[in-house]
Amino acid sequence: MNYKFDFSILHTYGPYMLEGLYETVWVAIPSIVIATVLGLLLAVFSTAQHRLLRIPTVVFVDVFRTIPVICLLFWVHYVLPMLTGWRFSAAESAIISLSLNGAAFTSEAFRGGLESIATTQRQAAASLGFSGIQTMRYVIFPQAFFMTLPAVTNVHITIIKTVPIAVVIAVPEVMFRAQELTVQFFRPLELYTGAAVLYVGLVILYTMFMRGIERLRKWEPI
Amino acid sequence: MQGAAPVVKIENVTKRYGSLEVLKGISFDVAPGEAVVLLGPSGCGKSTLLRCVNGLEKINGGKISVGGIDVGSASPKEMLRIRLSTGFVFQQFNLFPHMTVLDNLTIAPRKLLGIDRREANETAHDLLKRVGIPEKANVYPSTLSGGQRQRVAIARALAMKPNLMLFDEPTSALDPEMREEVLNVIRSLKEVDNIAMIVVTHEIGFGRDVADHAILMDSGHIAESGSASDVFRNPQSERAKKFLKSIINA
Repeated sequence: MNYKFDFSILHTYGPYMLEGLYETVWVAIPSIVIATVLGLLLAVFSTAQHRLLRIPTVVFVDVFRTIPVICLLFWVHYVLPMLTGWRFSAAESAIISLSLNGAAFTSEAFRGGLESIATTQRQAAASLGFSGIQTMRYVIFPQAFFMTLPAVTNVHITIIKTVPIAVVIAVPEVMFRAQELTVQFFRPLELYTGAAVLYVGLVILYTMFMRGIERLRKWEPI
Repeated sequence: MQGAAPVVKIENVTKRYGSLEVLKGISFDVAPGEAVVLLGPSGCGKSTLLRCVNGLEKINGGKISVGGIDVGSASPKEMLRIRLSTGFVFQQFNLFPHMTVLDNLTIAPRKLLGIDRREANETAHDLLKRVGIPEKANVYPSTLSGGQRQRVAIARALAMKPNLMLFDEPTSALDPEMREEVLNVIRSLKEVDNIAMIVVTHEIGFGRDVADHAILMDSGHIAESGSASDVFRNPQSERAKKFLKSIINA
């Protein structure tokens, strides 16, 4: 191999790439928040008795779990405006797509967590006189929250790692910039390695943050 | 006790799971302050019956009333009244693992009866003293032994000041040396507080000494029913004799 390494390009354009990471974060965080809130609602509805609540939820989850994100991105960014007249910036389209996709997956994680809380806990709460909603609030959610954290963290990380797909609609995040610079300077090895390092750093940071939350749990399951 | 309206009235109750009939016409009453033990082999429907009494499960036929309210047709408000006045103690304790012992005892009085935290805490500390573990108020259930967990579960039910307690095999999941401490607490509810109770149990000694009334169930029927001393000392039916022999030998 007679490729001559020249990481000085990262020295020059590192800050420009780092700004791209800022874009990544500002697509990832709203997506994570919306996906989580929506996913939680979907999970609760999917366990509902009433079919009118349950069936649309199941359809939503199955639809957005199966559409490839890239297809969803194009659809939201190009097709939706044609149908509705609404226009979204590239970043907004990315947030919408990742939120819908992420919600489908977080709801699955939450559903697993909610179901993991034994029915005996519901019975204990019911026997004391708690209503269904009170049981959710005081007994099921506080336990399910910590039970689902690892699975939900995984979904969040997948969301973070899916942000670069938004390159295809020109969200100026890290990958977009790495590509742009590669075309200009023909230094793919250095630039894509630099991009990888940034993503790894971001994911490690996020994982540490979620581990910190996990450590807030003072009780042990029985 | 004669003449007082029964706390629980069970009339010809039937219950099916699909085609499997688990209760085939059960009838008995529980008078105020009366302790009834339900005996019988596993799967004979004892626990199911207990769950039906406070509406955790629905019956298919007959009628159960608690404090004069028909469980089957109770409105949500009436069902709440039944559950607030009825304590349920489970075989597997079912404490809330994410709450300290104190919070396990105070969450229902605070959220359901509107009692303020300080008063609820005071009551909880008294109850923990009563069940013999005052020092465990601030620990989480996972750190407790089985016997301690079950005593907390009883205290949690008592915090609601029930006039009826339902015990579903309260000592079956415990090591023998822990059974006595739990049974003593249950005994005191009968002897000191005069709370009516239905106890599903295999503890012969407890049944004989504490219960007023003993009912032996067998595959969904009542095989024998009578005063506890009669049923335990002088069983009439062959089924009862055989069953009592089997649990004494176990």
